[in-house]
Amino acid sequence: MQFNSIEYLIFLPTLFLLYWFVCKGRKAQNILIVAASYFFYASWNPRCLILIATTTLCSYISAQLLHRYESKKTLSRIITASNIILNLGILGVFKYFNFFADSFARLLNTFGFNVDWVTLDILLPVGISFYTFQALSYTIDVYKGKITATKDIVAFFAYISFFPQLVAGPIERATNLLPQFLQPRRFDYASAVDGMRQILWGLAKKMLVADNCAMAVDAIFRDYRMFDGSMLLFGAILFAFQIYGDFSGYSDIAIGSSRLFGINLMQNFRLPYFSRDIAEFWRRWHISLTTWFRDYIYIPLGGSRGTKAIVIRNTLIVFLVSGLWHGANLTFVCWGLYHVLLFIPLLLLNRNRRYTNTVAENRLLPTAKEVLQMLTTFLLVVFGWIIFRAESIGKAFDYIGRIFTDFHPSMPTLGRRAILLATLSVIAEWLQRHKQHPLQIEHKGVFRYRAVRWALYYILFIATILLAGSNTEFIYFQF
Amino acid sequence: MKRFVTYTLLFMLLAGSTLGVGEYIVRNMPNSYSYKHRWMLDNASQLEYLILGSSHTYYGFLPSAFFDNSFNLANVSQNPEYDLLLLKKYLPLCKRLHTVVIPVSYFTFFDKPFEQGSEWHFAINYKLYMGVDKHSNLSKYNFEISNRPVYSGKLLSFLKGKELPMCDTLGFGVGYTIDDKASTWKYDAQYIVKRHTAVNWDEFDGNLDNLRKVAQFCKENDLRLILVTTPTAESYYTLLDKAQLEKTYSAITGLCNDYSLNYYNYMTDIRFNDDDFHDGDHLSDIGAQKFTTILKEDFSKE
Repeated sequence: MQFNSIEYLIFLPTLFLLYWFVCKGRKAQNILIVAASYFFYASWNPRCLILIATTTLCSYISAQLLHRYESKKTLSRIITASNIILNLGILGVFKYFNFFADSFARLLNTFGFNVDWVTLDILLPVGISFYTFQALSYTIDVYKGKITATKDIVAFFAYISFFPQLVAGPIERATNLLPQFLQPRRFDYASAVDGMRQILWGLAKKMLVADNCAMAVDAIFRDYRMFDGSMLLFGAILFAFQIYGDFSGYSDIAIGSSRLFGINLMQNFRLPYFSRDIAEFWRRWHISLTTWFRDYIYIPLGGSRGTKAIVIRNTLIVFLVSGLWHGANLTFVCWGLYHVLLFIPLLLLNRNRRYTNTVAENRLLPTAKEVLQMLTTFLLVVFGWIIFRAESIGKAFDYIGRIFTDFHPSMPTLGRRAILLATLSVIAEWLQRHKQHPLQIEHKGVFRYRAVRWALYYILFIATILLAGSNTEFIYFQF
Repeated sequence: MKRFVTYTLLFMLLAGSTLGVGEYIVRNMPNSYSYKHRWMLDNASQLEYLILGSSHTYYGFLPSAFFDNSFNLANVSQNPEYDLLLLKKYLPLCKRLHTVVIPVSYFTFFDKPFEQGSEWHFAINYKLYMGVDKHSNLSKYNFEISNRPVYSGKLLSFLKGKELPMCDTLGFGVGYTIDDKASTWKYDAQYIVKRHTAVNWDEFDGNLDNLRKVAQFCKENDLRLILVTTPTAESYYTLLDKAQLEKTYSAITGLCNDYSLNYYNYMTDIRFNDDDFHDGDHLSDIGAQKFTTILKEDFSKE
């Protein structure tokens, strides 16, 4: 069940009405959330329910054991390690087994050992990386004493399986989300209305920007040898908008849907393409994952303490794991490596935390320097997306090579509507860059009048339906 | 809470009404499916030759160049399953029908039912405009809006005052002219072959069974069924997978033997040149005229 499907259009309001009008009280609401989330997840593949239930149950039991043997450090360590191994084991088998088995066989073949390694025909469960990381963070936080293990199993199941963020994040922390399931919730009109607006904006980004870009991107990447360098660059730029519209659109719908149930999720994107350097980009892109890696890998490894060499090693590990997290493919690993190469110079020069504020703060337009910085960062990110999107590393380098060797500036023959819509969305996000989403306009000029706001929502909704591109699955579902 | 529910309902009602009006407009725009349905209702009693099948006959078979009382009921991506559904639907109206022509192409036995792929929306046309009751009224196949790109494309055409692509008066698909031909059509043939070449043969038995059902139905109703493979360009047929092709020919031979059918194969016919093709596997309007004339002559020789 996709967020932009008729099924979700029926599912969400039905659940909303049951949640607020039928289920009185926290426990009943949590039971409903769990049931609805499992129903939502089963719409992809009911067999995968057993995996998420296993992960949830094991993490719950681990936390209870950690609570019981709090004073016994060695035992606590063993329990935490067992849970991590189990969760990562499930993730490894279902997501990475074939990749590592195949890579190992190739490596042996390189050294002259003729090995025909067995690969398994395993279905990749939707969202497995997201909920596994969420479960891991809970166990680690309980072990570290950042959070108390909850006895409320229903609330815990709701925390792991909460449907808006179940299959593509944001990857929530127990410290933020779990307490919300342990508290009674009250309906907040302003929050729900804003949630609806965020859903609308998310849908527009997904269906207008991402899906329109997808049509041109697919055509260009599929037959990239048929196009000259300028079209290839254009295709890569469109992919940058596609993946942003797709993923941040999904996050907006997830956050907006959650707010209808009185639950607040963390922000996952903060205008990443307005970043002035790569470090800033990574503070703004897929925030829930980057902060996860920071808290559970980078900092435990020593973080930025220690020698430069150690800091570089830690950064390298984080980016490699981040690449691998996206999928069992060398392209993702190389994408991670590419970004670490861009990041390390900033780290060495101690410039990785230069830009923590919003660009052009208190100004309408950025300065020429800021424009240049943003364009440079954007282009660097775009080249990274080529590696990310390509079918193989060879094709990625061939694609990039053709941009530089066969470049003839020309008007694009494909994707004109896509680029127009992407530009409009960029303008809207720029003008509203201090807000969580561009439709937070109720205090702005003529939008103070409800009729004007409604007219805008109406036009945007109808345009989203009429000008939507071909319906494609959310890219991050595969991760 | 009540205020929120009321406002949300109001907004949805407003937006839903707009989309509903759009659905009404789109459904009432003349299209080749509704035209063919109307034609069959009005003229089927005079019909003698019925042409079914996919785009290969839709764009390749020109009824006006064939015998009198012929009609082209083929549509893009129409497979034997839908050929049979249409045959069953309209046969009671066809008092004089004696011959049915169906194309058998390289992909006929290997394609998935289009409901399972990106062309699922073709089923909407059969449901809405030809009254084929394969899917329920509550399914997505009963609403134009469920396929948003086509829905909005049609609505935008309406707003611009443009008409939808239509067939000629006898159901032939117009539009594949020389002016409309891509300059890279020979090069593009490799992609068409790739698309038409099956990854596996899982669909073979089902498709063969559907064609058998068509043959059986024709036999039971005293209709002569003719199988035809339409001409293809050299850039297309030289790249075809030999195993898939042989499997196709062996299935056709089996069908012809079991049901005493005639089969005409023009796939590699050298009488067709570049001008006769719109792309690797479709005839242009010139090629369609030529092909239908040749087919008529070959029929007459029987």
